[in-house]
Amino acid sequence: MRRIAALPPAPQRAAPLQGLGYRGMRITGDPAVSIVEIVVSGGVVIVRDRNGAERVLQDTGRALERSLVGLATATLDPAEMSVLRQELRE
Amino acid sequence: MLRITADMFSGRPDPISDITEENEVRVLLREVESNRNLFLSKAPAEAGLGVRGFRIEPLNDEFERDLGVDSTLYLPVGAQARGSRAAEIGERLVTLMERGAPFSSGAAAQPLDASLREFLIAQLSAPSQLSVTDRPATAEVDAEAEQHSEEATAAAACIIELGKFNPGFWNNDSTVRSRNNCYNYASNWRTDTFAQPGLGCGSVYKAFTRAELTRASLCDGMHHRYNCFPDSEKPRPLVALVIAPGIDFHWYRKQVEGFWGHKPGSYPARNTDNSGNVINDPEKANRGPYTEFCGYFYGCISQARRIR
Repeated sequence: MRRIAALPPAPQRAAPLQGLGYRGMRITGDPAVSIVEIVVSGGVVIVRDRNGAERVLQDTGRALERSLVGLATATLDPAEMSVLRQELRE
Repeated sequence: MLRITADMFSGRPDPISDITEENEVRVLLREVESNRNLFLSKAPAEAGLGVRGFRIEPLNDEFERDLGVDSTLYLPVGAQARGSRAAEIGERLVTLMERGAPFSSGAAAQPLDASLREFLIAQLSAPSQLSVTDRPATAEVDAEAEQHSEEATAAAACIIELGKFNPGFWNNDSTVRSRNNCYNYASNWRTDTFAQPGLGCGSVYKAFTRAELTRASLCDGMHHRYNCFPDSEKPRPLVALVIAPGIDFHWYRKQVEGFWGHKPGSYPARNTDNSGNVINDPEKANRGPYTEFCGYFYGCISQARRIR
């Protein structure tokens, strides 16, 4: 959360990936907290709160996304990890 | 008092009519109340050319009390309609507009005359799907005949139904959008379960391979293309299956406009590929990692009802 808090706002037209294939990482947490979802996708981070408000932040070089994929290594199967790594290389 | 706008033109100003007769307003409000699911608070973003819907606005503060809404109601019709009764209510609104007073904002106002009425009614009753003959090209018949000799030679052409592209149905409501996937879209059946091929028939796919996904889809009740369904199985959409080998499956559905629609997981339904191009041929579209094209199938009403 500290890393996300330090991210700068994204440029106005920045948008997450939406096509077929890997579209990014989605973090959901305790419904009791004010932030209900964080989407980290293609250099953009979207933080959604309980009231439906959104903050759109910039993930320069997809650094945050890469570190989340690193965290997921233990739980994803090798074929899924291969797709993720390939997408992140592009 | 209410103001009704027929949302239909692109260049000319839309026809607007003020309804001041209290009984007519009351009857309309009751109609709205009992069909509330057909209405939105504003026009859907995906609306195209032609008659898109009707906007109903209050002209005094009684509207809020009677309807429990604070501003505008919008009845989408045609491809964006949220139910089969939308056209019927739309016709009633046209009749009301004829009786009401044309509103002029100073620009070139459009009174709802006989020709406009005729145009509106015709558009409202236009079918949302079309039955067409799906006939293989000669080379295609030969290839199919080698693979499925009895099926392909028995039926050289099938009647199928192509529906209008209506992404609003899948995208406007966040629950519908997040809980229905490409298989729901291809089957044109909302289950809110993220439907999986074969689950409905009790034999879900066991691997992300062409053979397994095909088996599971046929088990749910799909047919290979050119293996016709009878009329009693309408609507019979033409769909296409692709896979990211070992990773996932994906479906497309052909629309009456000629292009193909699809819904990538919990993301919005669309008619464009990963390059942003309209999908005229799913075999040639940019499908990202979904590199293996598995073939064309027909859905049908029993299959749609079976999916889980």
